[in-house]
Amino acid sequence: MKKSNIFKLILILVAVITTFIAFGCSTSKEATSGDDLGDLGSFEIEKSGAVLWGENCTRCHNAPDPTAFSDTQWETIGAHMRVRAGLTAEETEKIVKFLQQSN
Amino acid sequence: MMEKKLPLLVFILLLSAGPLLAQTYNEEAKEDLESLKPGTTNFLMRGYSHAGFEIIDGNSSFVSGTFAPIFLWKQGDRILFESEMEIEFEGDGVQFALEYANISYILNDYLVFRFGNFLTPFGAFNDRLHPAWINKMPNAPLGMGHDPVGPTSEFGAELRGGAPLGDAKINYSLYVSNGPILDVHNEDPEEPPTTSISGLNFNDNNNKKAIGGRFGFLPFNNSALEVGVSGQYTSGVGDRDTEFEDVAALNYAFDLSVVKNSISAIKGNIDLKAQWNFVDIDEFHIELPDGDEQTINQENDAYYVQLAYRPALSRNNFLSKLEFVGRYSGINLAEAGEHEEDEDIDDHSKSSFAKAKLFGVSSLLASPGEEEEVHAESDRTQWAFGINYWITWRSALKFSYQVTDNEESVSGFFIHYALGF
Repeated sequence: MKKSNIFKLILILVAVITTFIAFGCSTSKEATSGDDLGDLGSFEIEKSGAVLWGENCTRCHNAPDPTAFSDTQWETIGAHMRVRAGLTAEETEKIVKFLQQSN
Repeated sequence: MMEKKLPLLVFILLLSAGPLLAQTYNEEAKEDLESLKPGTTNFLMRGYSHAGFEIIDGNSSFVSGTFAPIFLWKQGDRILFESEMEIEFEGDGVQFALEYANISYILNDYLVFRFGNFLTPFGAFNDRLHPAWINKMPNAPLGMGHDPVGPTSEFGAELRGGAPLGDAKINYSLYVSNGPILDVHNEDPEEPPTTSISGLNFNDNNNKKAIGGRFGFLPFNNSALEVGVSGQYTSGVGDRDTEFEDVAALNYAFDLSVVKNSISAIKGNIDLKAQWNFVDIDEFHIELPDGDEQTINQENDAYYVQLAYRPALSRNNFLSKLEFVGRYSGINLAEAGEHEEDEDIDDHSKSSFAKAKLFGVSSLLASPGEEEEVHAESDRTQWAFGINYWITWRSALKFSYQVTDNEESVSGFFIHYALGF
C-alpha cells in the first residue's frame, strides 16, 4: 500500500476515534432547570480553577503538582502559559489561584 | 512601707514591659515579612533536560543530555520576557543555541502582543509539544524536529490569545515576520550549488515579509478536542537584488489533539495527536557547472499521528504510572530537481545535481529531541512504539522501539530519561 494511503487510512481512524471520544466525553456547562428548579430558569455553572487546571494543562502535558512551585512562581508560570497556550485572563487567574491555594 | 510597695512596682513594670516587648517583636516580624514580599519583577528559570542510551542500526551509544533552560521575567501584570537556550553536545564540542527570545505585552483579557524571536505557531508540535518531558517519544516525529518541513521560529511581531465562543473556545495567532530565507551556496564553481531554506533570517535578506498564523478551535466545553489550521505566506525568500528574490513560499499545516483523562471504561487517559505540514516553494532555476539549468520545484510534506494510553485509574500503583505510546510519521520530499534537457542526462550529471533542502534535512543520527534521520533527503516513514514510566508529573523514563523505512528498514532502540524543571 502506498505510504500516503496508509496515513490517510490512519487519519480516518483518528477522525472516528476523535468523534467518539469527544462526543462521548463532552459535558454540558449549561444546566436547564426544568421542573426540578421551578422558576429559577436556566443557569450557567462556572468552571472552578481545579476543573480548568485539569482540562487545560493536560492538553499538552501532565497536570502539574501544585506543591511544585511557590505562589509567586505560579504567577509567572501562569503568565507564561497564558501566552503559550492561548488561555484567557479568567482561565489563567482561576488556575493560578487554585494552584496557590493547593500548594 | 517602701519595702511593701516594691513587689507591686516590679509587677507593674513587668506588666507594661510585656506589650512593649511584644510590639518590638511584631515590628521585627513585620519587617522580616516585608523583606520577603515579592516585588513586581519576578524571575523564574524553568526548562528541561534529557539523556539516554540508543541503538540505531546496530550502533549503540550513550547520548548526553540536552540542557534547555527557559528564562522567564514577569514585570507587573502585563509584561513577560521569555527565552530558551539549548545547550547540547554536538560533534567535538558543545553547541549553544538560542531557541527564542521575545517580549509579550498583555493588551487585554483576550489578546497578547509579542515581539522578537518566537516559535512559529505552525501546527502544535513545534510550539507546544517539543520539550523532552512533554514529547511522549524520545525523539520528534519525522519532519517535525529541528530539521523540519515547515517553519519553526520567526523574527517578527505577533498578536495571539484565546477566547470563549459560547460553549466552545478558540485560540488564535497572527504574525508578521522576516519569513524564511533561501540560501544558494555556490562556493566551488566545479560543484553544483546547494540550496536550503531556513528560518534563521534574523537580518532580513529582503523586504518581503511573511504573514502567518494559526487558528485553533475547541468545540467542546471540556476542551478535550482541538483542531488547528496554520499558514504562512511570503512573496519572496531569496536575497534582495538576486534572481531568487521573488521566489514565493506557502506553508500550511493541520493539527489535531484529543485528550481525555479518567475515562472509567478504559481505566485511564487517552491522548491523541496528529499533524500534517505542507511546504510549497515556487519553482526556481539554478545554473549547474556544465552550463545547464536545473529546476528546483519543492512541494514537501510531513505528518504524524500519535496515540497514548495511560491506565491512570488502575489500582496497581506501578501500572498507573505506565504510558503506552504508538506513533506513525512520515516525510515526503520532492525530487532534487528536474533537468532542463532531460534527454542529455547521464549518470554523472544526475549525480552532480544540486542538493536542495527544505528547512534542512541532513542530520544522520537522532539527536535529543530531533527526528531520526537515517537516510537524508529522501522519503521516509516511521513506526514507533514506546512505554514511558512517569516517576513524577514532569520526569519520565522512556523506552522506545522505532523502525524507519525508505529503501531499507532501519531499526532503533532508545532509553531516555526526560526531566522538566
